[in-house]
Amino acid sequence: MIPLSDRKITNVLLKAENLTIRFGGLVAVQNFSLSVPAKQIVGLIGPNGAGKTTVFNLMTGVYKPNEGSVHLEDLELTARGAHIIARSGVARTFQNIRLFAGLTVLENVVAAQSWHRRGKSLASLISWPSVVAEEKEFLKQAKSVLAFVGLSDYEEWEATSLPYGLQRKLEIARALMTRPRVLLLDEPAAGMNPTEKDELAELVRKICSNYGLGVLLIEHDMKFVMNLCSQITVLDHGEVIAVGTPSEVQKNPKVIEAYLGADSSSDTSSLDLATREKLV
Amino acid sequence: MEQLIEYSILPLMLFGITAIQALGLQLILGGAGLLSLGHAAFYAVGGYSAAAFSVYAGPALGITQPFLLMSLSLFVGGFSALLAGLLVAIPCLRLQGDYLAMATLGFAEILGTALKNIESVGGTRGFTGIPKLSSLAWVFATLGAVWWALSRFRRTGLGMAIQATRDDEIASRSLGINTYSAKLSAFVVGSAIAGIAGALYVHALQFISPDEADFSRSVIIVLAVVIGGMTSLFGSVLGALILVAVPEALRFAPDAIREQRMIYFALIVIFVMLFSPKGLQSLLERFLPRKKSKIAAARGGSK
Repeated sequence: MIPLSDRKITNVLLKAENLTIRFGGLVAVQNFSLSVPAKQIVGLIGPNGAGKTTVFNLMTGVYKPNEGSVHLEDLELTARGAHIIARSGVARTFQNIRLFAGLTVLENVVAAQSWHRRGKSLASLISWPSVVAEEKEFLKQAKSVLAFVGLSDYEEWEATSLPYGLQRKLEIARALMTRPRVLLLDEPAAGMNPTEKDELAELVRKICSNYGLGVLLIEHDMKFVMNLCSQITVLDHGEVIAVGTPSEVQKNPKVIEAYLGADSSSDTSSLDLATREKLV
Repeated sequence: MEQLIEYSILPLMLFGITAIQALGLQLILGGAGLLSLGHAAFYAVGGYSAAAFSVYAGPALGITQPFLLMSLSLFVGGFSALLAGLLVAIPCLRLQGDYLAMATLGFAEILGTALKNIESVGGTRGFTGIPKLSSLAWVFATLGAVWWALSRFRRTGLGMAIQATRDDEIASRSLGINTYSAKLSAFVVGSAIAGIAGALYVHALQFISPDEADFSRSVIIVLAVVIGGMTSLFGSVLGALILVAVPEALRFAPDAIREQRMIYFALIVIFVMLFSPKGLQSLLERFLPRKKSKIAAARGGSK
């Protein structure tokens, strides 16, 4: 799926190093490192409550890490505001879909580039010709992004009245509208049937090749992850337990243990697990 | 007949002025999802500043031409309310939670007390001797301009950012929207519109008292927006119409009924919340043909 020649050029876009965050006395993520190269799909997996979404929140500025750093190429993103990180070129979707309920499908996508037009509100109020032309251009882009994910027929629908699978696609379209360089997808296939999942996998591949993006995705469907990703990082209890290609990760005994449950000699108490799950 | 026309001018003006205030609050409440309980205070700021301008500053600068004086005092009213809005909102919007509602409430109280103690603007007696510069034409021309500008504003980049922020702040930030400045803009623009309404009011009635900043006046505007429908500009104007028309109609009713108008408003609110939570405007919409694609129409784009 990804040409071998491309794999050799590991032109790293997004790089997280030694990220740690504590909530009170609880360490939710510890010493987390990961890189997302251009035109590659990287997977982040792990049991429930392992800290995957927390990692996304650290990378996109929702949480500030206690230690560690995040870079987009040479640009330091650590502890920057979420909107600054988004403008720098890191877009994301959410595990619990977060669409703008009061807006239509098309408006949801248009809103995602509203900051490109900020400061020109007065000019657009009086229909200044250059601003009108720019608005039309943005509208055209929004429509082409919707067409790209296959939502052209739903432009005037209320966003939250779309079927679940299409809402996930709309979130992706909205994220693409910010013209990101790296796209973070939080469980994009959750709640989808097998056909929808295949379509989604195809879409993610297309995003990667057409837009030249680096993609980092969290997913529980192992078949989906193994088929799609070139690199996989496995997280358990907030720590990286394995990194490698899908086949390497699948054979890793630590990963198997994490997924099938630790034996009684493990020091993980049930209380600890419960509190972690609440947090993530 | 002539008497009837003469009689209806003042209520009509009051309706227009209330509608402008409601449009300003619609942007704050319906557009940005922020609760302002001191909208009347910004209205009073605009009213007092505009009056002070046309009574003191204008003549001192040698401006006497009525049209020019009125235009400038509209600007002064709007701008002073905008500054007051900034003063209140900058500290509150940095915090999480509904601090803005509390702060606007406090601001209204402080302003009312302060105005009562400034003798040059009339103190407790109120500000009198303001020239009559405003007219029905001024009020409705301004209402039309504000309505038009707000309907365009929704489609601008900032307008979209404000609506996105209202619906989901975390998602908005993840898409590069500065949610703090979106909320701040909505609040100060809405307050400035209230100030413009205040400027129209003082030059129509030639009088303003500190009572105009009162909490009960702010509640009336919140009611207008909620009853009419928070999500649309038309709804706010409709709400303003009801809030002005009901007391006016009750003028002919016995005292016992008239004095309890707040009870009727409460009943109307309960009725609206029960049968049409999106306001009376959505009730009307059901009987009218559905509008075509909003965005495409507003931008002149086509599929």
